[in-house]
Amino acid sequence: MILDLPPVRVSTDPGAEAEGAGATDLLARPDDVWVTLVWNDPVNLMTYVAYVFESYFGYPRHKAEQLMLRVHHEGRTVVSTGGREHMERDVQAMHEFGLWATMQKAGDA
Amino acid sequence: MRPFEAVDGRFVARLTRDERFAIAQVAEQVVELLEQEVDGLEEIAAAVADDGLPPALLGLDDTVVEAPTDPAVRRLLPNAAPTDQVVGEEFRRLTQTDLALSKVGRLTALCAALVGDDEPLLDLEDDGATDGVDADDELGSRDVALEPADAQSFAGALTDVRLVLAERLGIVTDDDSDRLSSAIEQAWQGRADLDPRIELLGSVFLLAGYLQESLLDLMLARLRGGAPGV
Repeated sequence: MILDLPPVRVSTDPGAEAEGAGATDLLARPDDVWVTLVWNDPVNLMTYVAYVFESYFGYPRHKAEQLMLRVHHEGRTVVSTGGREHMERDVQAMHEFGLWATMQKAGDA
Repeated sequence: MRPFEAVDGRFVARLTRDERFAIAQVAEQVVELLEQEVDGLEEIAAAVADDGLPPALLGLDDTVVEAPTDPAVRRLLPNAAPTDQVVGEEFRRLTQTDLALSKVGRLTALCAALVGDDEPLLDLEDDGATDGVDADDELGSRDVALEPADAQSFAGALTDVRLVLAERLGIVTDDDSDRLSSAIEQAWQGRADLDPRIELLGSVFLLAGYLQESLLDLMLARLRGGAPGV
């Protein structure tokens, strides 16, 4: 996989710095990283949202409750991060639970 | 209503006939809405019932699957990627039928858990509906008992019922939800006169919420390994 990437050119030429930084960022392939967002809604009980985060994602109680509160107070929060297919599975699971979830590229979040 | 509690390893609530029928009638109508809005859902559901498996070619062609037009159904089957039309459409094409199917399945199970085979889902006004059944009072109260393994589906179906009701009742913000709750509670105490349709839909919304909350306490306790006897 890493071999698919263009080589990172190390250069002492200050003019090449921007290009070098861009190439380093490529290692993270931000276009391949997606996030699942869960949005606040006026229907789902806080305990239900916490249950979903705890049971589906396997997050410890503290983290599940923190995420739930963030959804409630900030209107939305990122609940998982990963490749597109992985996030599609997570979003589908959230919809199955009845939570309002969307996915987008991590860079757009 | 007596909320869910753990009894001999099962989760048991007790509801009057009116309570059980009201929730079940809304759940049945949510199924109908899904069948109206998702193409071919009834046929696929029948095929699954016959063979136990959905048709293998689902979602494999490039036909665009339309988003539901009813806002309540759109809330059950939301746009997964509002910022990326291609991803959103593909997601809908690949998952919408499965998702709708699973919701129909658990809503149907919810109805079955609430209403016995011996009491057809008749009009709420028909007092003869439960003559001679095992209800122990004139209100037609019965236990609704769930295996813990079925609790998550039951809770999920209650969520779908509440999501659709919320859309019909115009609940958009947390404040709307709070206002509705107090209005309905006042109506229950005979201290407010509400439009009968709002009172019925709002009562089911609240009732389903109380029921779900008590069930969740048990589900969370079980998930965290703290529930005695479960």
